[in-house]
Amino acid sequence: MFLSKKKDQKAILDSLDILELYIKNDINAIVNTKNTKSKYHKEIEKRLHSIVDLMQNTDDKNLMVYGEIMLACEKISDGYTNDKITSVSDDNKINYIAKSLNDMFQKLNKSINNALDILNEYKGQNYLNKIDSSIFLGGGLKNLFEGINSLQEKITEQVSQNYTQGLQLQSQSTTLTAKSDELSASSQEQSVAIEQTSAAIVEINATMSNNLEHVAEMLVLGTKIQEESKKGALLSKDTNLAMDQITESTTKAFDSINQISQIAFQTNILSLNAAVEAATAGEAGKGFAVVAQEVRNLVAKEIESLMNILQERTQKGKDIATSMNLGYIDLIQDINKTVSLINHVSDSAKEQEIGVSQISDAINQIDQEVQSNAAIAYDVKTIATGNNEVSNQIVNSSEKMKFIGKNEIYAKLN
Amino acid sequence: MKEIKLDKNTMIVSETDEKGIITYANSDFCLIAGYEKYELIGQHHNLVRHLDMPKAAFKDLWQTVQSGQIWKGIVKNKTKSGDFYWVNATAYPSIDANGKKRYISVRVRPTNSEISNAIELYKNLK
Repeated sequence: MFLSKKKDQKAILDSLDILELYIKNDINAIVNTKNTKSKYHKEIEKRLHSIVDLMQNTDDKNLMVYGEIMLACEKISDGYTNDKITSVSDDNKINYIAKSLNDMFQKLNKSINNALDILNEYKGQNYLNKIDSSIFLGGGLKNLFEGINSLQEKITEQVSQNYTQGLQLQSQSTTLTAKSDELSASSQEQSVAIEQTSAAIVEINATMSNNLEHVAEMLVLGTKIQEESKKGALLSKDTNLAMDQITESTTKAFDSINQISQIAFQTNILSLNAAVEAATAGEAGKGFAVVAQEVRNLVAKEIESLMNILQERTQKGKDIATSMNLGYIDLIQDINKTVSLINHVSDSAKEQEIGVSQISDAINQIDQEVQSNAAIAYDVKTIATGNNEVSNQIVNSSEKMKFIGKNEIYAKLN
Repeated sequence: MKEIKLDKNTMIVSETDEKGIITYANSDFCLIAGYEKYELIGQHHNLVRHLDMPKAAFKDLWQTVQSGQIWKGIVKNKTKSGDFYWVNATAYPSIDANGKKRYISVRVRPTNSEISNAIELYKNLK
């Protein structure tokens, strides 16, 4: 009896030792076994087993919560905020910890999702909304969210500025494009006109050269005519002299004819005498009478009239020669005037040719400049068109965005 | 093949979905089993199952947790390099933040007698 009591006591103490090992975490579990005999010890052992069961049961339940806490906390440190501790302990302190952690997870998850939603809107170029930073009282997370919000303000400012400038640029570049179109068209027209002018000048130049050649030929001919007319004048002078000599000769001839006429007169008288003599002689003198008659017929009357005609014609020839000589003098004067005029024309034609050549040079230079202007105008047009496209792109990309004050900017600039 | 010993502070914790696919593993799991976290997540939990373990043990485990009970047992696992480690495992069903079923397992250092008892037990089960 005493021995069994001792054994029971030892069994109880062993159980307590095991319980202590369990509490100290040296063993993981306790298996209850009935080792006592007496009613008293059995009761103690029963109460002990009940406590051990209660402890193990509580520990198991707690371990479930602990396991979830360990997981959830490590998940948070890896970036996952969407966990929740769902197991429940009998220990209110542990449950409070679990509840606090769940609140934290929920709050973090909600705020981060809110931030992500807003950032996604920003990604889609919608800068209208801000992140709700009021969920946090202060500290790093509140600062982070407020930092993102101030970034949104900066972006809005920047985007507004881009939109404003884009609209201004668009308006200006549209005008510039239109103006450069006009410039390009008119400079092309100018270029065509100058080319036509240049061609006309070349033609005028050719005509001028031709004229100059003609004038030179005229000058040569004029000089030749001048020389020829001088020769003509000399010849007419000679003719005049010859006519004087003829007149003189004719006068002399006339004097001779007078003498002939006197001779003829005497011959006539002689022939009359002869005729008288012939009549006296009768038949024998008949033939002689015929001769005497013929001699009488040879009276210088005819000679005289011929001489008169000669004198008259000689006088006429002299008159003509004199007037010819006078005519030559006039002609030479006229020819000299003509040659002088031709010289003038030649000189001024030469000057004109120089002038036209200078005009041609100037036109060529203008042509080059106009062409280079046309090329520049075309470049300006291309650049203006490019600028216009860029401004359209800026405006289009701004118009795709949503931001505060957008409509006001549009209303103000349109 | 050498044994990797857990120390008193080791806490191997993992989470799987209903089909036993690992959805999360903690750092001690990676440290002891020799895997990186991304290598474990997405794999079936039997990745660390040791050939010495009787199938019956796992059958019991799954039946227990699927019926909503806590399962406790001594388990021999293998590491990535082929070594092994013993654990005192507690597996239990839970639900996640979205209300979906999940299983959680917490493993701590087993005592020497727990290990020797398990070796004996599994010999008989095989």
